[in-house]
Amino acid sequence: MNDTKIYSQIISEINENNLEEKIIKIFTFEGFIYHRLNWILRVSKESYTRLNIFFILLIGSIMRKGEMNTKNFIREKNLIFHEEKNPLRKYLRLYKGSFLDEKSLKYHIDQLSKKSKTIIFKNFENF
Amino acid sequence: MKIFNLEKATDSESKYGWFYRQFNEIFSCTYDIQVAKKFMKNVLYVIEIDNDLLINSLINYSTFSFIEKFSFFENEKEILFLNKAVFGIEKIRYVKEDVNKIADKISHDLNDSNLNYYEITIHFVSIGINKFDHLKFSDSDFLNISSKNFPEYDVSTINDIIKFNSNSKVL
Repeated sequence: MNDTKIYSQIISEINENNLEEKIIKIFTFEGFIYHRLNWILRVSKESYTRLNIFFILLIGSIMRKGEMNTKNFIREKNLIFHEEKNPLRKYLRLYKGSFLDEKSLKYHIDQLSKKSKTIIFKNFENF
Repeated sequence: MKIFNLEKATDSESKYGWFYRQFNEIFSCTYDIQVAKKFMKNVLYVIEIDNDLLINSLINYSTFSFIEKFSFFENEKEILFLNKAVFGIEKIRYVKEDVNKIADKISHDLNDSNLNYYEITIHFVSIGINKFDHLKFSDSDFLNISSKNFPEYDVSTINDIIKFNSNSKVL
């Protein structure tokens, strides 16, 4: 099944009770909408004028689901850890895999010692 | 200024308390390290959020969302962050997986390229949408706040930022 058919199927399932869930599902499918949206965010950064109604719906859906679910989810899944060296410090720990290769990482690390942190901040877009 | 040497970093870690990262995209992560490793080549981000920030509501729960139940791929145990979230880099270390331990695991969960990797620990700094957040990351030498019209709460916020961004001095 191609991207368009999957999008069509998810959209056909939308009703007045599940709009937020379906918007998130469309995004997490990681088809062309996912890649296009993140590309625009990386390129235009502060400018939201190029973003579309889907982005606004997605932000709203993430915020609303976060308010409703995040606190309970963290508690239910027992995701708060104690730091070994300092047991008083508790924290939520999450993970993200990156396709950055060793050569690129080394390049970025080298830049840390050469440029101001604001410039580095911009250079690290794909870090 | 510290210079991080990757070749010498196998058994040590380097700290980068002054460097910040904004992903500029709807930032996706997971609470399952094995899932994250399937999506990495040489680098694994470990994101830490202090419980104090969560308890004291300094981080709004709407900043990120556990969307596992609604995701297209439920087994990814995914969390989405809003695109403005700012993270501070805490440390970078090189991780060598114990080959004996790996042999006990189910082979299809791991591939050879993931045996050794760089682990970048980042901590949540800011949701990135507050009025003066940008000043936290400014490399200006001075902040010009000579206006007498600043409300008291703005002055307090800027004061906190100056403590945070030690590069900047008030003009």
